[in-house]
Amino acid sequence: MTMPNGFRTAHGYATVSSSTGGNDYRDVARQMTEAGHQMNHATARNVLLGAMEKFAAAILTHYGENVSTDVVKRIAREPSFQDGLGELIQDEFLGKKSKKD
Amino acid sequence: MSVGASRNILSYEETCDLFIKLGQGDITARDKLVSSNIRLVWKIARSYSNRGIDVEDLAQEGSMGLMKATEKFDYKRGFKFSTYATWWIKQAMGRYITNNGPAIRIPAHVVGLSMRIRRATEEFKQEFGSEPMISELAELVGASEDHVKSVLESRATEYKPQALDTGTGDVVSNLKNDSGENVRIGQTPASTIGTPFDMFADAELRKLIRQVLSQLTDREERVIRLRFGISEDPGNHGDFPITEDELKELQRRIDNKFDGTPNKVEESHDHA
Repeated sequence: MTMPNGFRTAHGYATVSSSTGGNDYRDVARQMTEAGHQMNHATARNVLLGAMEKFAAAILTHYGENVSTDVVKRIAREPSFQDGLGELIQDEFLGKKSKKD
Repeated sequence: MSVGASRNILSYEETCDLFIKLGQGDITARDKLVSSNIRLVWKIARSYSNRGIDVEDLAQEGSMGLMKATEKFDYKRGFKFSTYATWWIKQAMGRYITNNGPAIRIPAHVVGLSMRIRRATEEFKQEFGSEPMISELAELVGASEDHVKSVLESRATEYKPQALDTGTGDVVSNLKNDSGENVRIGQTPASTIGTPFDMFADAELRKLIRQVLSQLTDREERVIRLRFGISEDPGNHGDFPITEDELKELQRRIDNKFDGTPNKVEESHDHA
C-alpha cells in the first residue's frame, strides 16, 4: 500500500506528537538559524537523530543489550522511542514531573 | 527444535532417490527428507506468527504435516516435493490454530482490516516519523473512524478474553484522536502496573538520561529543546538559546553601532 496522492502535502512533514507540544523540523531549523546555527530541516533531523543515537546507545549498554550501529540507528529513528525519551528529557530540563505523570 | 539452517537444499534428483529408498523401507531417507525441508516449515510458521500462537508450537505442528507429506508424496508425478509439502504443512498449522487459537472467532474482514491498519501505520511512521491519528488511519485504509477504533481495541487485547477481576489499568495506544489525546483501547491486568522494581528501573533510567544530557553538544541540546517544545527560562542565560560568548559578541556589535549616538541625540535635544 502506498500513500495516496497529496497525502504528504496535506499532512505536512514529520510533525511531532501534539502531547509534547514541540516543533517540526522546519521550525527547528528556522529557529536554530535565527539563533546563529545555520541549518535546514534535514540537518535539524540529523542533529536530533545523532543525539537520539547517543541516548539509545547508552540505554542499550545499560541494559546489557546489543549495541551494534544498526540497532542503535533503528531505535533512534523509532517515533515511540523519541516520544518517550522526549517526555523524560522534558522532566529533566524542567526539573519536575510532567503533567502526564 | 532448531531451525536447521545448515541443512542443504535437495535437488529434484536427490529427492527422487530418497523417495525410491523410502519406498524400499529405508527410514533414514524419510529423516533426510524431513530435515532438508525443515526450513520450509519455519518459513511458513513465521508467516502465521500473528495469530496468537507461539511460532515454535506452529513449527512443531508443521513438522508433523511435513512427515505426513513424505508418506503421501508420489514422486512419479513430476512435481517438486516442497510444493506438495507446503499444503500439508499449512493444513497442519491451520488445524492447530483452529483448535488452540483465540477463543473468539474474528471475522475475515476484520482480520483483513487489521492487517491493512498495521501496514498503513508502519508506512505512516516511516513517512512522517510519528504515529497516525485515527482519522488519518481511517482515510488511509478507507474505513470509518469508529470501525478503525473498534479494530484497534480488539487488537490491543490480542483477541484474548480477560478474567472479570483482573482489570485495573487503562491500556493507552500511541495513536491520537483529533484532539491530540492518546486513545484508550482497553484494560490491563493489575500485575503489570508500577512495581517497586519498575520505580527503581525508572530512577536508574532518569539518572542515565541526565548523564547523556551532560555529554550533548550545545547544538544538539538546543535542537532537542526545540523539537520537544521544552521552554527556555528567560532569567537563566545558561538556558538561553544563545551562549554567553554570542551574547557578548552581540553586545559588542550593538555598542559599536551606537557608539557616540547618545551624545548626538543629547546635542540635537539641546538644539531643539
